[in-house]
Amino acid sequence: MKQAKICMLGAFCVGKTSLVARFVKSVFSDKYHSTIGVKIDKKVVSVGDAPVTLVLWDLEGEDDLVRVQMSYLRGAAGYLLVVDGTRPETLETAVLLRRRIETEVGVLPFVLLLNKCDLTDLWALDDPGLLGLRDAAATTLKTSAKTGQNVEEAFAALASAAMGGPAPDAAGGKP
Amino acid sequence: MNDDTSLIADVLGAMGLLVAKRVDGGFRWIGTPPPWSEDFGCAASEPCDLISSFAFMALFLHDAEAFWAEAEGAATISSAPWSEPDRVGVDHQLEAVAMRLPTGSGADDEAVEVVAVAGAGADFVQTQSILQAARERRLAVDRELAVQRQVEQQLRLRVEQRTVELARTNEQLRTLAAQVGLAEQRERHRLAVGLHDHVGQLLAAAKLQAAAERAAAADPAQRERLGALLEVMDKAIDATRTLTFELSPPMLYELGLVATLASLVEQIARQHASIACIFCDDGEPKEMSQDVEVVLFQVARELINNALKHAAATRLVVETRAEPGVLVMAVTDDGVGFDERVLHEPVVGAGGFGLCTVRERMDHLGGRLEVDTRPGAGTTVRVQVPME
Repeated sequence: MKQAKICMLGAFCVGKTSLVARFVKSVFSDKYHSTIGVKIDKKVVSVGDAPVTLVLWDLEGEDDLVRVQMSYLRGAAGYLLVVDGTRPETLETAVLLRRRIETEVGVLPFVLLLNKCDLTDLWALDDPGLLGLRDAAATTLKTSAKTGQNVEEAFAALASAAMGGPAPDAAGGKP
Repeated sequence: MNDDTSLIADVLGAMGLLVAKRVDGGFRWIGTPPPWSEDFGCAASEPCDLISSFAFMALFLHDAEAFWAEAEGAATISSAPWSEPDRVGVDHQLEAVAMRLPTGSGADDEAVEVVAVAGAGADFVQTQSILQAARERRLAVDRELAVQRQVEQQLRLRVEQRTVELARTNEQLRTLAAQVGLAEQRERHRLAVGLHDHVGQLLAAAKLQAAAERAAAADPAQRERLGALLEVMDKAIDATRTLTFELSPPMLYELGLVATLASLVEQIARQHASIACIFCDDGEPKEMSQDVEVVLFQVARELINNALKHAAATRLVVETRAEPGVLVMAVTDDGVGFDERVLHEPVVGAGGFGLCTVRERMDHLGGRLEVDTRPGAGTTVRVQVPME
Protein backbone atom coordinates (compact mmCIF):
# COMPACT_ATOMS: atom_id res chain seq x y z
CA MET A 1 0.00 0.00 0.00
CA LYS A 2 1.23 3.48 -0.83
CA GLN A 3 2.22 5.73 2.04
CA ALA A 4 2.29 9.53 2.10
CA LYS A 5 3.87 11.59 4.84
CA ILE A 6 1.71 14.61 5.61
CA CYS A 7 2.79 17.34 8.06
CA MET A 8 0.59 19.63 10.13
CA LEU A 9 2.05 23.10 10.54
CA GLY A 10 0.97 26.35 12.11
CA ALA A 11 1.26 28.59 15.15
CA PHE A 12 0.62 27.16 18.61
CA CYS A 13 -2.96 26.38 19.62
CA VAL A 14 -4.44 26.75 16.13
CA GLY A 15 -5.94 23.24 16.39
CA LYS A 16 -3.48 21.01 14.48
CA THR A 17 -3.67 18.16 17.01
CA SER A 18 -7.44 18.54 17.27
CA LEU A 19 -7.83 18.32 13.48
CA VAL A 20 -5.78 15.10 13.44
CA ALA A 21 -7.78 13.71 16.39
CA ARG A 22 -11.04 14.56 14.60
CA PHE A 23 -9.76 13.00 11.37
CA VAL A 24 -8.21 9.86 12.85
CA LYS A 25 -10.34 9.17 15.94
CA SER A 26 -13.45 11.30 15.35
CA VAL A 27 -13.02 12.92 18.76
CA PHE A 28 -12.65 16.50 19.98
CA SER A 29 -11.60 18.02 23.27
CA ASP A 30 -11.77 21.69 24.22
CA LYS A 31 -8.74 21.28 26.50
CA TYR A 32 -5.49 22.54 25.05
CA HIS A 33 -2.41 20.28 25.20
CA SER A 34 0.86 21.57 23.81
CA THR A 35 2.45 19.10 21.44
CA ILE A 36 6.11 18.47 22.25
CA GLY A 37 8.29 17.60 19.26
CA VAL A 38 6.06 15.70 16.90
CA LYS A 39 3.01 13.46 17.25
CA ILE A 40 2.64 10.77 14.62
CA ASP A 41 -0.59 9.12 13.54
CA LYS A 42 -1.74 7.05 10.59
CA LYS A 43 -4.93 6.71 8.64
CA VAL A 44 -5.80 4.91 5.45
CA VAL A 45 -7.72 6.95 2.88
CA SER A 46 -8.74 6.39 -0.71
CA VAL A 47 -7.24 8.50 -3.42
CA GLY A 48 -9.13 7.69 -6.55
CA ASP A 49 -9.66 3.95 -6.18
CA ALA A 50 -6.34 3.27 -4.45
CA PRO A 51 -5.90 3.03 -0.68
CA VAL A 52 -3.13 5.25 0.69
CA THR A 53 -1.76 5.29 4.22
CA LEU A 54 -1.41 8.86 5.37
CA VAL A 55 1.35 9.13 7.97
CA LEU A 56 0.43 12.31 9.77
CA TRP A 57 3.23 14.27 11.41
CA ASP A 58 1.65 16.76 13.75
CA LEU A 59 4.50 19.17 14.46
CA GLU A 60 4.62 21.28 17.59
CA GLY A 61 3.29 24.79 17.12
CA GLU A 62 5.55 27.66 16.29
CA ASP A 63 5.88 30.66 18.60
CA ASP A 64 8.66 32.73 20.12
CA LEU A 65 9.47 29.85 22.50
CA VAL A 66 9.54 27.02 19.98
CA ARG A 67 10.80 27.01 16.39
CA VAL A 68 9.57 24.22 14.12
CA GLN A 69 12.39 21.96 12.91
CA MET A 70 12.26 21.96 9.12
CA SER A 71 14.07 18.59 9.08
CA TYR A 72 10.78 17.02 10.16
CA LEU A 73 9.40 17.76 6.69
CA ARG A 74 12.01 15.58 5.03
CA GLY A 75 10.18 13.09 2.80
CA ALA A 76 6.80 14.83 3.23
CA ALA A 77 4.39 14.71 0.29
CA GLY A 78 2.63 17.86 1.44
CA TYR A 79 1.40 19.74 4.44
CA LEU A 80 -1.66 21.28 6.00
CA LEU A 81 -1.01 24.88 6.98
CA VAL A 82 -3.37 25.74 9.82
CA VAL A 83 -4.51 29.22 10.86
CA ASP A 84 -6.73 30.08 13.81
CA GLY A 85 -9.48 32.27 12.34
CA THR A 86 -9.97 34.02 15.66
CA ARG A 87 -6.29 35.06 15.95
CA PRO A 88 -5.08 37.07 12.94
CA GLU A 89 -1.47 36.85 14.16
CA THR A 90 -1.49 33.11 13.40
CA LEU A 91 -1.91 33.99 9.71
CA GLU A 92 1.39 35.86 9.85
CA THR A 93 3.05 32.80 11.45
CA ALA A 94 1.64 30.66 8.62
CA VAL A 95 3.13 33.01 6.02
CA LEU A 96 6.54 32.82 7.72
CA LEU A 97 6.38 29.01 8.02
CA ARG A 98 5.56 28.59 4.32
CA ARG A 99 8.44 30.89 3.39
CA ARG A 100 10.85 28.83 5.54
CA ILE A 101 9.59 25.56 4.07
CA GLU A 102 10.17 26.79 0.53
CA THR A 103 13.66 28.02 1.45
CA GLU A 104 14.85 25.06 3.54
CA VAL A 105 12.85 22.10 2.20
CA GLY A 106 11.46 23.08 -1.19
CA VAL A 107 8.08 23.67 -2.77
CA LEU A 108 5.49 21.21 -1.46
CA PRO A 109 1.75 21.10 -2.08
CA PHE A 110 -0.22 22.45 0.84
CA VAL A 111 -3.80 23.06 1.88
CA LEU A 112 -4.61 26.18 3.87
CA LEU A 113 -7.03 25.61 6.73
CA LEU A 114 -8.80 28.50 8.45
CA ASN A 115 -9.73 26.62 11.57
CA LYS A 116 -12.22 27.24 14.41
CA CYS A 117 -14.87 28.44 11.96
CA ASP A 118 -17.51 27.47 14.53
CA LEU A 119 -16.45 30.55 16.55
CA THR A 120 -18.25 32.96 14.26
CA ASP A 121 -18.54 35.73 16.87
CA LEU A 122 -14.78 35.82 17.35
CA TRP A 123 -13.83 35.39 13.67
CA ALA A 124 -11.17 37.97 12.86
CA LEU A 125 -9.90 37.16 9.36
CA ASP A 126 -11.19 39.59 6.75
CA ASP A 127 -8.42 39.69 4.17
CA PRO A 128 -9.74 37.86 1.11
CA GLY A 129 -6.21 37.28 -0.22
CA LEU A 130 -4.99 36.02 3.16
CA LEU A 131 -1.57 37.56 2.58
CA GLY A 132 -0.97 35.65 -0.63
CA LEU A 133 -1.51 32.17 0.84
CA ARG A 134 -4.84 31.55 -0.86
CA ASP A 135 -3.32 31.70 -4.34
CA ALA A 136 -0.38 29.49 -3.38
CA ALA A 137 -2.42 26.81 -1.62
CA ALA A 138 -3.83 23.80 -3.45
CA THR A 139 -7.08 24.78 -1.79
CA THR A 140 -8.30 26.83 1.16
CA LEU A 141 -10.94 25.58 3.55
CA LYS A 142 -12.71 26.90 6.60
CA THR A 143 -12.61 24.06 9.10
CA SER A 144 -13.76 23.22 12.58
CA ALA A 145 -12.20 20.37 14.50
CA LYS A 146 -15.04 20.86 16.97
CA THR A 147 -17.90 20.28 14.52
CA GLY A 148 -15.90 18.31 11.98
CA GLN A 149 -16.72 20.81 9.23
CA ASN A 150 -14.47 20.25 6.20
CA VAL A 151 -11.98 18.11 8.16
CA GLU A 152 -12.30 14.97 5.99
CA GLU A 153 -12.33 17.22 2.93
CA ALA A 154 -9.11 18.93 4.00
CA PHE A 155 -7.11 15.70 4.34
CA ALA A 156 -8.67 14.30 1.17
CA ALA A 157 -7.75 17.47 -0.73
CA LEU A 158 -4.15 17.30 0.43
CA ALA A 159 -3.89 13.55 -0.22
CA SER A 160 -5.20 14.18 -3.71
CA ALA A 161 -2.82 17.08 -4.32
CA ALA A 162 0.12 15.15 -2.85
CA MET A 163 -0.59 12.04 -4.95
CA GLY A 164 -1.12 14.09 -8.12
CA GLY A 165 -4.85 13.40 -8.07
CA PRO A 166 -7.79 15.46 -9.34
CA ALA A 167 -8.23 19.13 -8.62
CA PRO A 168 -8.63 19.97 -4.94
CA ASP A 169 -12.20 21.24 -5.40
CA ALA A 170 -13.18 17.63 -6.05
CA ALA A 171 -12.75 17.12 -2.31
CA GLY A 172 -16.09 18.86 -1.90
CA GLY A 173 -15.02 21.37 0.74
CA LYS A 174 -16.30 24.91 0.76
CA PRO A 175 -13.77 27.64 1.55
CA MET B 1 29.22 -8.64 22.08
CA ASN B 2 32.27 -7.80 24.18
CA ASP B 3 32.14 -7.13 27.93
CA ASP B 4 31.90 -3.32 27.59
CA THR B 5 28.96 -3.53 25.22
CA SER B 6 27.29 -6.11 27.39
CA LEU B 7 27.72 -3.80 30.39
CA ILE B 8 26.18 -0.89 28.47
CA ALA B 9 23.29 -3.11 27.38
CA ASP B 10 22.69 -4.20 30.96
CA VAL B 11 22.71 -0.61 32.21
CA LEU B 12 20.44 0.67 29.41
CA GLY B 13 18.18 -2.36 29.77
CA ALA B 14 17.85 -1.70 33.50
CA MET B 15 16.70 1.84 32.62
CA GLY B 16 13.83 0.39 30.51
CA LEU B 17 15.40 1.47 27.21
CA LEU B 18 15.08 -0.34 23.93
CA VAL B 19 18.65 -0.73 22.62
CA ALA B 20 19.86 -1.76 19.17
CA LYS B 21 23.40 -2.04 17.83
CA ARG B 22 24.31 -1.12 14.26
CA VAL B 23 25.76 -4.11 12.42
CA ASP B 24 26.46 -4.64 8.72
CA GLY B 25 24.12 -1.85 7.59
CA GLY B 26 21.31 -3.11 9.82
CA PHE B 27 20.56 -3.38 13.53
CA ARG B 28 20.50 -6.09 16.19
CA TRP B 29 18.87 -6.01 19.62
CA ILE B 30 21.20 -5.62 22.55
CA GLY B 31 19.81 -7.22 25.66
CA THR B 32 16.12 -7.94 25.98
CA PRO B 33 13.66 -5.36 24.58
CA PRO B 34 11.61 -3.83 27.47
CA PRO B 35 7.94 -4.85 27.83
CA TRP B 36 6.56 -1.50 26.56
CA SER B 37 8.33 -2.00 23.21
CA GLU B 38 6.53 -5.29 22.51
CA ASP B 39 3.47 -3.28 21.47
CA PHE B 40 5.62 -1.81 18.68
CA GLY B 41 6.62 -5.32 17.53
CA CYS B 42 10.02 -5.25 19.23
CA ALA B 43 10.92 -8.62 20.77
CA ALA B 44 14.10 -10.64 21.10
CA SER B 45 12.56 -13.22 18.81
CA GLU B 46 11.67 -10.68 16.12
CA PRO B 47 14.03 -9.15 13.59
CA CYS B 48 15.36 -5.77 14.63
CA ASP B 49 13.65 -3.38 12.19
CA LEU B 50 13.48 0.02 13.85
CA ILE B 51 11.96 1.82 10.84
CA SER B 52 9.06 -0.65 10.61
CA SER B 53 8.47 -0.40 14.35
CA PHE B 54 8.64 3.38 14.63
CA ALA B 55 7.61 5.80 11.86
CA PHE B 56 9.80 8.47 13.44
CA MET B 57 12.92 6.29 13.05
CA ALA B 58 13.08 6.89 9.28
CA LEU B 59 13.89 10.49 10.05
CA PHE B 60 16.02 9.89 13.11
CA LEU B 61 18.22 7.17 11.61
CA HIS B 62 18.88 9.44 8.62
CA ASP B 63 20.31 11.99 11.04
CA ALA B 64 22.08 9.25 13.05
CA GLU B 65 23.85 7.88 9.94
CA ALA B 66 25.23 11.34 9.21
CA PHE B 67 26.24 11.68 12.85
CA TRP B 68 28.05 8.32 12.97
CA ALA B 69 29.89 9.18 9.77
CA GLU B 70 31.24 12.38 11.31
CA ALA B 71 31.59 11.56 15.02
CA GLU B 72 34.94 10.65 16.56
CA GLY B 73 35.42 9.02 19.94
CA ALA B 74 32.49 8.80 22.30
CA ALA B 75 29.57 10.93 21.20
CA THR B 76 25.81 11.11 21.56
CA ILE B 77 22.91 12.78 19.81
CA SER B 78 19.31 12.68 20.93
CA SER B 79 16.05 13.27 19.16
CA ALA B 80 13.37 15.68 20.18
CA PRO B 81 10.60 13.87 22.02
CA TRP B 82 7.88 12.47 19.83
CA SER B 83 4.59 10.67 20.22
CA GLU B 84 3.48 7.70 18.18
CA PRO B 85 0.77 5.04 18.48
CA ASP B 86 1.76 1.41 18.94
CA ARG B 87 0.23 -1.43 16.93
CA VAL B 88 -2.98 -1.36 18.98
CA GLY B 89 -3.36 2.41 18.63
CA VAL B 90 -2.17 3.52 22.09
CA ASP B 91 -0.07 6.68 21.98
CA HIS B 92 3.41 6.49 23.55
CA GLN B 93 5.68 9.39 24.23
CA LEU B 94 9.16 8.43 23.09
CA GLU B 95 12.67 9.79 22.80
CA ALA B 96 15.63 8.34 20.92
CA VAL B 97 19.38 8.56 21.47
CA ALA B 98 22.14 7.60 19.02
CA MET B 99 25.53 6.85 20.54
CA ARG B 100 29.02 6.09 19.32
CA LEU B 101 30.94 4.28 22.04
CA PRO B 102 34.59 3.21 21.94
CA THR B 103 34.91 -0.39 23.20
CA GLY B 104 38.36 0.06 24.67
CA SER B 105 40.96 2.65 25.59
CA GLY B 106 43.24 2.13 22.57
CA ALA B 107 43.12 4.23 19.41
CA ASP B 108 42.59 1.16 17.24
CA ASP B 109 39.72 -0.22 19.31
CA GLU B 110 36.49 -0.63 17.35
CA ALA B 111 33.62 1.78 18.20
CA VAL B 112 30.07 0.54 18.80
CA GLU B 113 27.16 2.47 17.30
CA VAL B 114 23.98 2.13 19.29
CA VAL B 115 20.43 3.47 19.19
CA ALA B 116 18.39 3.59 22.42
CA VAL B 117 14.70 4.44 22.63
CA ALA B 118 13.08 5.59 25.87
CA GLY B 119 9.41 4.76 26.10
CA ALA B 120 8.34 6.36 29.37
CA GLY B 121 8.44 9.95 28.21
CA ALA B 122 8.65 11.17 31.78
CA ASP B 123 11.53 13.50 31.03
CA PHE B 124 9.52 15.96 29.02
CA VAL B 125 6.37 16.07 31.08
CA GLN B 126 7.84 18.98 33.02
CA THR B 127 8.96 20.70 29.83
CA GLN B 128 5.49 20.24 28.45
CA SER B 129 3.83 21.68 31.53
CA ILE B 130 6.12 24.73 31.52
CA LEU B 131 5.54 25.32 27.81
CA GLN B 132 1.85 24.73 28.18
CA ALA B 133 1.55 27.14 31.11
CA ALA B 134 3.42 29.84 29.15
CA ARG B 135 1.21 29.33 26.11
CA GLU B 136 -2.00 29.28 28.11
CA ARG B 137 -1.03 32.61 29.67
CA ARG B 138 -0.26 33.97 26.21
CA LEU B 139 -3.59 32.70 24.87
CA ALA B 140 -5.49 34.27 27.77
CA VAL B 141 -3.84 37.63 27.12
CA ASP B 142 -4.42 37.33 23.36
CA ARG B 143 -8.10 36.49 23.89
CA GLU B 144 -8.53 39.40 26.27
CA LEU B 145 -6.92 41.72 23.74
CA ALA B 146 -9.10 40.30 20.98
CA VAL B 147 -12.25 40.90 23.02
CA GLN B 148 -11.06 44.44 23.81
CA ARG B 149 -10.37 45.05 20.13
CA GLN B 150 -13.82 43.76 19.25
CA VAL B 151 -15.52 45.93 21.87
CA GLU B 152 -13.53 48.98 20.74
CA GLN B 153 -14.45 48.25 17.13
CA GLN B 154 -18.14 47.95 18.01
CA LEU B 155 -18.04 51.17 20.02
CA ARG B 156 -16.23 52.99 17.23
CA LEU B 157 -18.83 51.80 14.72
CA ARG B 158 -21.64 52.84 17.05
CA VAL B 159 -20.14 56.31 17.52
CA GLU B 160 -19.65 56.67 13.76
CA GLN B 161 -23.26 55.61 13.10
CA ARG B 162 -24.59 57.99 15.75
CA THR B 163 -22.44 60.83 14.43
CA VAL B 164 -23.78 60.28 10.93
CA GLU B 165 -27.35 60.10 12.26
CA LEU B 166 -26.82 63.26 14.31
CA ALA B 167 -25.35 65.14 11.35
CA ARG B 168 -28.27 64.01 9.20
CA THR B 169 -30.80 65.08 11.84
CA ASN B 170 -29.07 68.45 12.26
CA GLU B 171 -29.10 68.97 8.54
CA GLN B 172 -32.80 68.09 8.40
CA LEU B 173 -33.49 70.51 11.27
CA ARG B 174 -31.54 73.28 9.55
CA THR B 175 -33.39 72.67 6.30
CA LEU B 176 -36.69 72.60 8.13
CA ALA B 177 -35.86 75.80 10.02
CA ALA B 178 -34.90 77.49 6.78
CA GLN B 179 -38.12 76.32 5.13
CA VAL B 180 -40.16 77.51 8.10
CA GLY B 181 -38.37 80.87 7.98
CA LEU B 182 -39.07 81.26 4.27
CA ALA B 183 -42.67 80.14 4.69
CA GLU B 184 -43.10 82.68 7.46
CA GLN B 185 -41.54 85.39 5.32
CA ARG B 186 -43.79 84.53 2.36
CA GLU B 187 -46.84 84.70 4.58
CA ARG B 188 -45.70 88.05 5.99
CA HIS B 189 -45.13 89.24 2.45
CA ARG B 190 -48.62 88.11 1.45
CA LEU B 191 -50.10 90.04 4.41
CA ALA B 192 -47.93 93.08 3.64
CA VAL B 193 -49.06 93.07 0.02
CA GLY B 194 -52.69 92.79 1.18
CA LEU B 195 -52.26 95.72 3.53
CA HIS B 196 -50.46 97.84 0.94
CA ASP B 197 -52.56 97.03 -2.12
CA HIS B 198 -56.00 96.76 -0.56
CA VAL B 199 -56.32 98.29 2.91
CA GLY B 200 -53.84 101.07 2.05
CA GLN B 201 -55.62 101.87 -1.21
CA LEU B 202 -59.05 101.85 0.44
CA LEU B 203 -57.81 104.18 3.16
CA ALA B 204 -56.29 106.49 0.55
CA ALA B 205 -59.55 106.52 -1.43
CA ALA B 206 -61.56 107.17 1.74
CA LYS B 207 -59.20 109.99 2.65
CA LEU B 208 -59.61 111.58 -0.78
CA GLN B 209 -63.39 111.33 -0.51
CA ALA B 210 -63.41 112.78 3.01
CA ALA B 211 -61.13 115.61 1.91
CA ALA B 212 -63.54 116.36 -0.99
CA GLU B 213 -66.52 116.30 1.38
CA ARG B 214 -64.66 118.64 3.74
CA ALA B 215 -63.87 121.08 0.92
CA ALA B 216 -67.51 121.07 -0.21
CA ALA B 217 -69.03 121.38 3.27
CA ALA B 218 -70.55 124.82 4.07
CA ASP B 219 -71.16 124.05 7.74
CA PRO B 220 -68.04 124.88 9.85
CA ALA B 221 -68.96 122.27 12.41
CA GLN B 222 -69.17 119.64 9.71
CA ARG B 223 -65.78 120.76 8.25
CA GLU B 224 -64.25 120.45 11.71
CA ARG B 225 -65.62 116.91 12.14
CA LEU B 226 -64.36 115.93 8.68
CA GLY B 227 -60.94 117.45 9.56
CA ALA B 228 -60.75 115.30 12.67
CA LEU B 229 -61.74 112.29 10.55
CA LEU B 230 -58.95 113.10 8.08
CA GLU B 231 -56.38 113.18 10.95
CA VAL B 232 -57.50 109.74 12.09
CA MET B 233 -57.29 108.49 8.53
CA ASP B 234 -53.75 109.89 8.19
CA LYS B 235 -52.76 107.98 11.33
CA ALA B 236 -54.36 104.80 9.96
CA ILE B 237 -52.47 105.21 6.68
CA ASP B 238 -49.17 105.78 8.58
CA ALA B 239 -49.84 102.75 10.80
CA THR B 240 -50.62 100.64 7.74
CA ARG B 241 -47.35 101.72 6.07
CA THR B 242 -45.32 101.01 9.23
CA LEU B 243 -46.95 97.63 9.70
CA THR B 244 -46.41 96.81 6.01
CA PHE B 245 -42.69 97.62 6.32
CA GLU B 246 -42.32 95.62 9.52
CA LEU B 247 -44.11 92.63 8.08
CA SER B 248 -42.20 92.56 4.81
CA PRO B 249 -41.13 95.70 3.05
CA PRO B 250 -42.48 95.58 -0.51
CA MET B 251 -39.35 97.43 -1.64
CA LEU B 252 -37.24 94.38 -0.72
CA TYR B 253 -38.96 92.60 -3.60
CA GLU B 254 -39.02 95.62 -5.86
CA LEU B 255 -35.67 97.37 -5.21
CA GLY B 256 -33.58 94.68 -3.52
CA LEU B 257 -31.61 94.25 -0.29
CA VAL B 258 -29.31 97.29 -0.35
CA ALA B 259 -32.07 99.85 -0.89
CA THR B 260 -34.26 98.20 1.73
CA LEU B 261 -31.45 98.14 4.31
CA ALA B 262 -30.79 101.81 3.62
CA SER B 263 -34.48 102.52 4.19
CA LEU B 264 -34.50 100.41 7.35
CA VAL B 265 -31.51 102.30 8.77
CA GLU B 266 -33.21 105.62 7.98
CA GLN B 267 -36.33 104.46 9.76
CA ILE B 268 -34.28 103.36 12.80
CA ALA B 269 -32.54 106.72 12.82
CA ARG B 270 -35.89 108.50 12.91
CA GLN B 271 -37.13 106.30 15.74
CA HIS B 272 -33.89 106.53 17.83
CA ALA B 273 -32.65 110.06 17.65
CA SER B 274 -29.99 109.49 20.32
CA ILE B 275 -28.19 106.92 18.16
CA ALA B 276 -26.16 107.88 15.09
CA CYS B 277 -27.30 105.35 12.49
CA ILE B 278 -25.21 104.98 9.34
CA PHE B 279 -25.57 102.75 6.31
CA CYS B 280 -22.64 102.14 3.93
CA ASP B 281 -22.57 100.20 0.69
CA ASP B 282 -19.66 99.89 -1.74
CA GLY B 283 -21.93 100.38 -4.76
CA GLU B 284 -20.85 97.09 -6.36
CA PRO B 285 -23.52 94.78 -7.86
CA LYS B 286 -24.59 91.94 -5.55
CA GLU B 287 -26.38 89.10 -7.34
CA MET B 288 -28.45 86.94 -5.00
CA SER B 289 -31.70 85.05 -5.10
CA GLN B 290 -34.71 86.70 -3.54
CA ASP B 291 -34.81 83.99 -0.83
CA VAL B 292 -31.23 84.81 0.21
CA GLU B 293 -32.01 88.54 0.25
CA VAL B 294 -35.03 87.86 2.47
CA VAL B 295 -32.90 85.86 4.90
CA LEU B 296 -30.20 88.56 4.97
CA PHE B 297 -32.79 91.26 5.61
CA GLN B 298 -34.23 89.24 8.51
CA VAL B 299 -30.72 88.74 9.88
CA ALA B 300 -29.92 92.46 9.57
CA ARG B 301 -33.12 93.40 11.37
CA GLU B 302 -32.37 90.88 14.15
CA LEU B 303 -28.80 92.17 14.58
CA ILE B 304 -30.00 95.80 14.66
CA ASN B 305 -32.72 94.96 17.20
CA ASN B 306 -30.10 93.16 19.35
CA ALA B 307 -27.90 96.26 19.31
CA LEU B 308 -30.84 98.53 20.15
CA LYS B 309 -32.02 96.31 23.00
CA HIS B 310 -28.74 95.28 24.65
CA ALA B 311 -25.79 97.39 23.50
CA ALA B 312 -26.63 100.84 24.92
CA ALA B 313 -24.84 102.12 21.81
CA THR B 314 -24.47 105.73 20.58
CA ARG B 315 -23.42 104.73 17.08
CA LEU B 316 -24.72 101.97 14.79
CA VAL B 317 -23.22 101.20 11.39
CA VAL B 318 -24.71 98.78 8.86
CA GLU B 319 -22.40 97.97 5.97
CA THR B 320 -22.72 95.87 2.82
CA ARG B 321 -19.92 95.15 0.37
CA ALA B 322 -19.04 92.67 -2.32
CA GLU B 323 -15.90 90.59 -2.02
CA PRO B 324 -14.80 87.97 -4.55
CA GLY B 325 -17.72 85.54 -4.78
CA VAL B 326 -19.32 86.62 -1.50
CA LEU B 327 -21.45 89.35 -0.02
CA VAL B 328 -20.36 90.67 3.36
CA MET B 329 -22.84 92.37 5.64
CA ALA B 330 -21.68 93.83 8.97
CA VAL B 331 -23.53 95.45 11.84
CA THR B 332 -21.25 97.38 14.22
CA ASP B 333 -22.10 99.22 17.43
CA ASP B 334 -20.00 101.05 20.01
CA GLY B 335 -21.96 99.62 22.95
CA VAL B 336 -21.18 97.48 25.97
CA GLY B 337 -20.06 94.36 24.06
CA PHE B 338 -20.17 90.92 25.69
CA ASP B 339 -18.14 87.83 26.50
CA GLU B 340 -17.75 85.87 23.28
CA ARG B 341 -17.85 82.56 25.19
CA VAL B 342 -21.63 83.03 25.51
CA LEU B 343 -21.85 82.14 21.83
CA HIS B 344 -20.22 78.75 22.37
CA GLU B 345 -22.33 77.82 25.40
CA PRO B 346 -25.66 79.58 25.00
CA VAL B 347 -27.77 79.51 28.15
CA VAL B 348 -31.51 80.16 28.24
CA GLY B 349 -32.03 83.67 29.56
CA ALA B 350 -28.35 84.58 29.23
CA GLY B 351 -28.38 85.27 25.50
CA GLY B 352 -26.50 83.76 22.64
CA PHE B 353 -29.38 81.86 21.02
CA GLY B 354 -30.22 84.64 18.55
CA LEU B 355 -26.71 84.60 17.11
CA CYS B 356 -26.73 80.77 17.11
CA THR B 357 -29.87 80.91 14.97
CA VAL B 358 -28.19 83.40 12.65
CA ARG B 359 -25.17 81.09 12.39
CA GLU B 360 -27.41 78.14 11.48
CA ARG B 361 -29.15 80.19 8.80
CA MET B 362 -25.77 81.17 7.37
CA ASP B 363 -24.62 77.53 7.48
CA HIS B 364 -27.69 76.55 5.51
CA LEU B 365 -26.84 79.16 2.86
CA GLY B 366 -23.23 77.96 2.73
CA GLY B 367 -22.10 81.16 4.45
CA ARG B 368 -20.64 81.97 7.84
CA LEU B 369 -20.91 84.29 10.81
CA GLU B 370 -18.12 86.03 12.71
CA VAL B 371 -18.47 87.97 15.94
CA ASP B 372 -15.86 90.38 17.17
CA THR B 373 -16.62 91.65 20.65
CA ARG B 374 -15.46 91.92 24.21
CA PRO B 375 -17.00 93.56 27.28
CA GLY B 376 -16.88 97.36 27.02
CA ALA B 377 -15.50 97.40 23.49
CA GLY B 378 -18.58 97.30 21.24
CA THR B 379 -19.59 94.54 18.85
CA THR B 380 -19.20 93.76 15.18
CA VAL B 381 -21.23 90.92 13.72
CA ARG B 382 -20.20 90.01 10.20
CA VAL B 383 -22.07 87.59 7.96
CA GLN B 384 -20.85 86.33 4.66
CA VAL B 385 -22.83 84.44 1.99
CA PRO B 386 -21.91 83.23 -1.48
CA MET B 387 -23.24 85.32 -4.36
CA GLU B 388 -24.67 83.86 -7.56
